[in-house]
Amino acid sequence: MLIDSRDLAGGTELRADVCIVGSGPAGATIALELEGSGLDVLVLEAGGLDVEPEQQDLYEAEMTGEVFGSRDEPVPVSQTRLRTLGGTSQHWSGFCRPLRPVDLEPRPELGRPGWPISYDELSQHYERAAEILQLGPARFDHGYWSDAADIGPVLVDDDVVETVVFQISDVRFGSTYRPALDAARDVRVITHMSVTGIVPDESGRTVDRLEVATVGGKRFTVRARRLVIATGGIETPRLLLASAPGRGGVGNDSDEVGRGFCEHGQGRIAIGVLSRTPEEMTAYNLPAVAAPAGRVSGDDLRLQAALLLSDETVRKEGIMGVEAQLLTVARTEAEPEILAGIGLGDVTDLVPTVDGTGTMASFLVIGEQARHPESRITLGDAVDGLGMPRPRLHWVVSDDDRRSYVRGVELMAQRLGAAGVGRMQLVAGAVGPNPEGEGFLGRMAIDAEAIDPTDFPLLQANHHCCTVPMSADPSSGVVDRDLKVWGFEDLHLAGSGVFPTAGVTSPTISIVALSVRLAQHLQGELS
Amino acid sequence: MSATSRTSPREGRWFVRGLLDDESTEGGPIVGGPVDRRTLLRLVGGSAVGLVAFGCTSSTEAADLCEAADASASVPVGVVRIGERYAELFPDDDGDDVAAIVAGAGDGSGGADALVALVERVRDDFAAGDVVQVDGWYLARTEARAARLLAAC
Repeated sequence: MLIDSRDLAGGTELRADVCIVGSGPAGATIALELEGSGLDVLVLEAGGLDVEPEQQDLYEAEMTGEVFGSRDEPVPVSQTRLRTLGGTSQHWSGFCRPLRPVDLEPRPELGRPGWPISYDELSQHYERAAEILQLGPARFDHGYWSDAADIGPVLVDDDVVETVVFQISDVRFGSTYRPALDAARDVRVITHMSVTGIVPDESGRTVDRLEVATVGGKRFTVRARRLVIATGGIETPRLLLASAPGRGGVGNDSDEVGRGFCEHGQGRIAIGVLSRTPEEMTAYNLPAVAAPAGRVSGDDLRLQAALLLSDETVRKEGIMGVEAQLLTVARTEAEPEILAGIGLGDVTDLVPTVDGTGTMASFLVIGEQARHPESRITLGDAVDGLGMPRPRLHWVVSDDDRRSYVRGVELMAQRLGAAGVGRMQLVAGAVGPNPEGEGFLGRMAIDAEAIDPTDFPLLQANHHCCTVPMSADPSSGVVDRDLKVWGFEDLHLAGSGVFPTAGVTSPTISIVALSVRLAQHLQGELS
Repeated sequence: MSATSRTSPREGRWFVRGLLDDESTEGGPIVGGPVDRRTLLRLVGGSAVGLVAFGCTSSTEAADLCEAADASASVPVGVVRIGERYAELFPDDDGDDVAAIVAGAGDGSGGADALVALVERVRDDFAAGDVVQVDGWYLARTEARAARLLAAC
């Protein structure tokens, strides 16, 4: 059932078995998984059914450290997340690929403690997550999709660099699941309900109530047997820190709330000259393919292959995970003016093919980050329209992070070279706009003199991770293996903030998998 | 062997095999052998940087490509630039081993064998991680050496 708080009388106290704050991929998944369980579920969504400017303004934040967007044109934090039914999934790109075993392992050399759950405990929920995201079978290897959908050959797929396959979801939780939420008998979704405080009881081990406000000035309180905060990797620590300020925030005894903020930095830091025709690389830039048997949705399926350092490689090298997607390819014979525009006219001489042509490719290189405690969410001095302190985000990208990107490119270049596929050029820091260019590649201008492997800008992927991490003990994280806030009996967190590490893949399918797991846990506890 | 035209490689135009017999003053010999070897280096070396980059994975393919190179041999300006930069970055590396492969190829039909040898060395370099970075390009050391030799032509 969908309810607008503007239709409710202010001062009302709401009660439920489970109260979920946020209706994005985490919150909506938990609610839908609990539908039919007999539990009374209440979802509080701060935004409305559509994106509203006054709600987005509540999402503004102060940024210090690295900026979102480019250094010349920073992007406001509010543009990287949506405060509406379905949350940020309402504008996500849909890329889905699970975390890998190495992503959960302790990596002391990188300052990473590892996850307190095994890979099997996570991966057993990917199949259900794939159903919720309306994907095909939860398979993400090239071999499977080559057989199932004939997606074309690989550039390279060996022990060092693998070809993996993303499935691209069309699910927008606010749009796709609005009918299901509206029709749900056990689930009430109330929009325009901003939680402004978590109030613990006298014991400090349970939550007495949530304090809720609306832009229109109404106030509500909410009490529930279990509470789940699922408001994203920035908003969740903000709410914890802003609650019980006399104690330094809720769940913050170890001073870990907000620390370790990480992103998936990405940049067009490599190009390549390849011997394959664009038609021979369709796996990396696919149109929709026919859905394989067993898929939930009857629509065509979108797949996209990418290059990924193997688990063994990142272990052996002692670096973070690195992935590369082929953004665009262009035949050198077909688009010489483009190549000239980006300063590649001479370089294409390096790879004259028999017919005098090669294929240029631009690589979007994406990497994970080491854990940086000083990369964190704190509370700023400014307050929003509801009187809450705005978050201050200090994003750190270290030299070690950048070294992993560069080493990743080098390893991919080696494997492409060994396979006779082509050559790669590191163009980190050397890519600028070409105002006269046309098309994607044409808009790039490369100045080889400016290549700097130690200091190059990275764009954020809008993946806000690791700010309220799961941990094996209270001293090193915020939630336990069941996503329960350390020290509390009834307060859980969900979303990418609970990831101890973020791997090098889009987080949504893992958010959904963990949310399926949490829903099962809550049902087990309360039933 | 007939030939029809010849221009400077640094202007990005074409050398054609067969016209070089009377050009001993231009650039000088690279490997100390007869002029045919210099021609071969231009053909093989000029191709070596390029040929290995586009899927030259078998001897047969290499031979085919060598034949193709025979028909339209050039010393691309990009290769020259890479070679010059490599020489700046690694001034002590004279590329003798690459030169030796070319010299050992002998005259005439030895070009294909030299090309195969270079292709295999380049693949081996990549497989072993013996890679150099020149102007951002990750190149097998062997092909970078070939480019250096060409740049000195």
